[in-house]
Amino acid sequence: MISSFIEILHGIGLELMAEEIADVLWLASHLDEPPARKEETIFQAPVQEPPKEESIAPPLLQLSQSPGSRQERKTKPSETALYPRKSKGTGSSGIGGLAFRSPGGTALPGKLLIGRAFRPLMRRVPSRTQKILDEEATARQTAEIGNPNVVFPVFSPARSRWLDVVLVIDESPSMDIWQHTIFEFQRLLECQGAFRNVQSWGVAFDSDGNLNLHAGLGTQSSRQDSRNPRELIEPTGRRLLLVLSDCVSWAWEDGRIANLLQIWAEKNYAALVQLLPQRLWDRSALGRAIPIFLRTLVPPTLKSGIEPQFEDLIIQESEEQSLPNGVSVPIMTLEARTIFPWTQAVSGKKDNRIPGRLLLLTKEANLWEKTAAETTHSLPPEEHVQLFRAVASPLAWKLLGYLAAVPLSLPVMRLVQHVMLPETRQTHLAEVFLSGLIKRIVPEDSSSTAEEVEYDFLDGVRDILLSKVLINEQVEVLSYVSHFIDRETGNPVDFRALVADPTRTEQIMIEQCNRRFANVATHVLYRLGGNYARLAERLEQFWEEDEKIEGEAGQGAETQQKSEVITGREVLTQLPSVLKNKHPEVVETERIDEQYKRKKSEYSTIDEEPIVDKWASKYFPIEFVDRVNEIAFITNIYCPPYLLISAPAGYGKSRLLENAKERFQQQDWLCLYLKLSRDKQYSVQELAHLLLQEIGVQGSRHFDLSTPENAGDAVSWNILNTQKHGQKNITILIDEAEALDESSVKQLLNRFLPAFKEGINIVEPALRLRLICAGRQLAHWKQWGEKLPLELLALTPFDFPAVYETVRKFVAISDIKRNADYQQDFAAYLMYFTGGHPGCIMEFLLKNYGSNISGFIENESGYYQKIVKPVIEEIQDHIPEDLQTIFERLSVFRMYNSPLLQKIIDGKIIDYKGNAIRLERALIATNLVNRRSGFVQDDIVRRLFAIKLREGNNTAFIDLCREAQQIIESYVQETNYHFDSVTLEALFQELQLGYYTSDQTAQSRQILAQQFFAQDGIVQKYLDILLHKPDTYDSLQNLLHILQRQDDWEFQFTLNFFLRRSDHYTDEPYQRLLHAVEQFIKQQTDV
Amino acid sequence: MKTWRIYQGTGKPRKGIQQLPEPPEWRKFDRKVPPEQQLEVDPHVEKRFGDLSRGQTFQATDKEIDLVNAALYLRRPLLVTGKPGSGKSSLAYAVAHELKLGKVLYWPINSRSTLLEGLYKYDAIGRLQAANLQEPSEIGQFLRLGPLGTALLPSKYPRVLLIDEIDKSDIDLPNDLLNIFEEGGFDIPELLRRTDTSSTEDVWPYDSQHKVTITGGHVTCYEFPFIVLTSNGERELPPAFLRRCLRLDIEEPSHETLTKIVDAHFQNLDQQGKDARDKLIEVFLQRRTEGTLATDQLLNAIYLTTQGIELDTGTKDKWGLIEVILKYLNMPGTI
Repeated sequence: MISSFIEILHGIGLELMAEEIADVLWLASHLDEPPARKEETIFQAPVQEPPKEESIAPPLLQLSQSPGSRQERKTKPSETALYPRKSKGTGSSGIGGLAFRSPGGTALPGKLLIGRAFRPLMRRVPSRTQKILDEEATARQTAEIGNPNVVFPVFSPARSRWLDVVLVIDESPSMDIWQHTIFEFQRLLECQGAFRNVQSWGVAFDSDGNLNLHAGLGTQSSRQDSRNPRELIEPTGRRLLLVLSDCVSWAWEDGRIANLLQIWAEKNYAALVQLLPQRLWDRSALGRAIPIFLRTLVPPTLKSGIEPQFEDLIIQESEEQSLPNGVSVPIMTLEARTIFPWTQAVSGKKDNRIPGRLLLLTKEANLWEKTAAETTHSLPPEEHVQLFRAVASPLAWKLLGYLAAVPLSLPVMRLVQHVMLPETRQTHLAEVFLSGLIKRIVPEDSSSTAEEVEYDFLDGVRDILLSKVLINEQVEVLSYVSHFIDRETGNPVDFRALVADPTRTEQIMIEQCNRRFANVATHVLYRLGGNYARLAERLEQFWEEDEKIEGEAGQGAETQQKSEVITGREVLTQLPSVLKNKHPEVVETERIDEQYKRKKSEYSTIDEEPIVDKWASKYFPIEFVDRVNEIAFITNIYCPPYLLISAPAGYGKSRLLENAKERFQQQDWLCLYLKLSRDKQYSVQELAHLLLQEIGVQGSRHFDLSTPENAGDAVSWNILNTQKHGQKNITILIDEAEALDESSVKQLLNRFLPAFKEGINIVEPALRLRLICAGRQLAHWKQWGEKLPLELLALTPFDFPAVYETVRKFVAISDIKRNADYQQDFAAYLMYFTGGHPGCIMEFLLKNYGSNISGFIENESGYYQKIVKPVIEEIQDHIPEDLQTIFERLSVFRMYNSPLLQKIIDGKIIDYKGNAIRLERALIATNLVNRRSGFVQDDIVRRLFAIKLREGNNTAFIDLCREAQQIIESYVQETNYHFDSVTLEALFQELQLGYYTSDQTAQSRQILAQQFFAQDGIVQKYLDILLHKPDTYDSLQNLLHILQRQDDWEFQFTLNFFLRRSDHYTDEPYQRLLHAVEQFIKQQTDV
Repeated sequence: MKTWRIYQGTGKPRKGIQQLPEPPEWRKFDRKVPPEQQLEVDPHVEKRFGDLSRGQTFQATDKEIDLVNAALYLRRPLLVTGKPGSGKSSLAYAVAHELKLGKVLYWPINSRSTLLEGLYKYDAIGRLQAANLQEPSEIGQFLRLGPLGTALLPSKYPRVLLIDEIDKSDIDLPNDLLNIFEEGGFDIPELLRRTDTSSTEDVWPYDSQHKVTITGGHVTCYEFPFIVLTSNGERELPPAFLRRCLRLDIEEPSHETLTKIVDAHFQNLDQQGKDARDKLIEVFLQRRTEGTLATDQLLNAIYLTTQGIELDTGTKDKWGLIEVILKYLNMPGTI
């Protein structure tokens, strides 16, 4: 009997202990006799219950409840305070009952994990002030004295909690959206029971740059006088000082906050909590801070503070350069995995490397940044929007489009996020805020909270954005928001009714918020055209009149207006269908994506540069894709004035320059375009001649070009002479700039251009001058002695999607028609053979498109010799000799950092005398590789060298692959960082080894796939390793995220290519892997 | 009426605790205490100001009543979670009031609270002083039991102990409590050290001026106290701890319950007052969908209306007032 009862309990998911079962049975015997009718439901009822969230007793307590109440209970969301309600409107209005705190729930996800990350700090130390009686010692003391009448009480320090916390919160305007998050974070810390005290302080700078530091948050406290930053120092060092910020205000830029941090970090554990996700850091002031690693050298209880360890600095400039004067602070985000290493380090774990930043104490002397930022305000709105488009994440861009249809305030923004883009998070909203397209309307009442602050787009921006959003989506957004405003103000202005009958003034409360809503709505209506535009006009008039004579507006025009009114209250909700009938042109308004695609093809008119003669552009009738971002970068306002475009042969540099020239001319710039000849050496005088020719001056020999200054004068004078219609911005474009040597470049930059600027009287930002040099391997210019004011733009090779798109474009103009499968397969082989080198791809396409796919593999070495090898040799010339072999042998690794590199050196895979850090710097100094997300990676050079290796000595290559696989495997076991990317790299190595050791036939590929995906196969092996790492859940989620977003296209391509089932390239293996990882995570979370 | 219910949620004091059956075998503690040594409810203990009204006006739902009874029957602590102001603490007062269990022992937890503080406090210095002055004194003179210690004294009927905001505690406290809940008693080493198992000491309880006698330096309960632990769910509690408690999640009061609560507090509302009440409850419920509001806030608002401050719709000032009174508890910027 009892055992079957226990079985039933198990069946419904209640795992009870013996004593609990005893409790249940015992209590049941004391309950009222259930009515006979319910007898049969005794053991069935609990099945419908959500068992775990209730107390242990509910199954039995159910007995005493009527079926009705049980039903009621089921429909109520079973909610505990820990897990926020996944809000879904309960009301019929569609948004009734929505929580506007932030889409998708809490403003601080992963609370419990974060709480856990603070555990290393939960310890007690002897108090300095509080004492307790030590009874044992007292007794001993008394006994030793031997006189029972004399008692010496002995006190010992009480144990008190180790640390207290001060949160210093940046109160610059862009921080408004983080209020909830910060609030919840503070609550979380308070509730940990780990800290003596948790205080919040706000830090802000007024318009004159004066510090305002005050205890407490909110506008009330910001009116206090500023306190001294030294007040926050806890002299005994038992304090965590967390600065929470998005690091975008000027105070970060010019070192004011860095100075505060220096004061605080001296005695206490100061750290920076960056609220923005890492991908946005470069757009905050952190982009200019130097990434460093810190580690504890001395246990912190002996000496306060964490000593910076500088051996892993990433400095682009030469090795010898000493560090600038700055303060080094640990950095983290509000995620457990970034907090944990820091708390561990603070608690004294040695040799724990934690990421940090070196913040400069003074403003960095930079030639262009300030002017760029200052001029953003004077940008025309189109450019400003484009600028944001160029750097924004797709979701943020989309969100911005929707926001254009509504009045801006935080609750409304969250509402739009919730109903239109539920997948967006706080960070996307932050991105929108950082766009610089939104301004804050200074509230009349300065005590309003962040929720009440109103925002608006800069002038003109709203209309531009609205033109990019589908009309019916605008209407949808609008109607949601009008609901919301109705409810929020509590005294409804029915906007729809207003549209229908603008004369009903007596029922309308003219409140600020409604007014603004109506204003925005009129914008939208204008865009609908036709009757709606007229309606909008009327509305506008109405508001204006209303402003003048309150309550009496529109009386006179009543009769006339009523006849034009569009029927009914539901006009807004009906709009989309109405529009289709009446205004077909409006409905065709493009979606943002489509428009973007069109633009992309507009921009991407860059072609091949004829460096190797056989690649002359006349042979290449099609255009390269994927240079949209570069063009946008070059021609936008943020672009540094002196730019260096460097890339190996065949990357489309010349084409890029030509396109840039075209864009500049469209924007009414004066373009001076010079194409040098690689075989010659040019002096500045010769450059001046060429420039004069370009301006159209004949007989330039008459001018005094004896010194660079004179030459600059002469050129500027001639430009002024030829410009009749006012002054223009000027850009000088130099192609094949490798023909310039060090001294002429220095003369050009340091002497010619200053004289030139002075001659024309160029004062940024009123008038701008740009110099853009393009050429092969120009990166070493940056290393010439003194620091030249040049910024480097390296062109990237093609990724697989770009190759595929190139093929498709080619097919569109080619006579040879093949089906889509063929195109995809062809693209895959192209990728495999060329490594994504644009020039090779073009040649391959022209020569071989249409030929038999199965013939490719057999002919591989033929293609290699003819097409790829010359390119590799060309690149090799630019590598210092001692690094050539190292580069070649390292090409089996897709990425490495210094620990991994050390293992590679130790494993004698490469022959290098120094340590890994030195090698890493040497490699980066070649400008052929660069550092991305903590690893040195490189694109084309590595792949080309790998191709060279496998084509050259195949056995040696396979040996190398084997060693590489072993090294990575042992590295995965050891490391505690970047599990996601390291795991992918390990899988890559396994694939590479498996593929090249097999005979690469369809059959052996099948076998490899089986090994890869089997129950105890390779994938499983690495996932199991992940299980034993800290923050498993986070790492797994990150891995899944990378796979889902297809961030690592090379891995995706390799997987699909190596495990292709037939000869067709499909995405099937990748999907299989994705599925496997998903399943694994599901299993783990179930456990 | 369900006959098994001892606590019925009526708010009227009644005899009922006598019907509580013997505890289950595994929750029997020291049943050997002879009746004459069992402590009765002390009628002289003054109740805290407001305890009475809290006990009278609390409106219990069916679920709450059932779980209270289950906890009483099973002699297990009741862990109550719920939003601020949903009546977590009031539940303890209501039970004490209705079942005539005496004063509620109140132990507010902060992050510095320790188990020892809940059990007893020993004034060693005082004793030393007394010894030096050669004053004749018993050790019991320098011992005062804490709220938890007092609750565990061998009373005839369970004492009511309210441990407030357990989730604010230091990380170790829940585990320490766990042991006490299992044992149903504790030792006082200061007494153990100097006495044999049968000798007695008189010590001060937490809330009374009458000393109680402790035998052998050990306190064990006769009836396990009725312990209510409240939590705002801010932190996870150890699973082992959760397993030992009955868990009750108090839901936010519904429209109907709110009306009952208001009526319990304002018994003489006229028709006009009732209209205002209904209207305010509407507003309250609507606002509560977007943030946390405590029932107290509603009561404040209604109190204002009964004092002649009319909260008509329309004018801006009055709505502003309502906004202040019904300000969300979980929003930043509230100081």
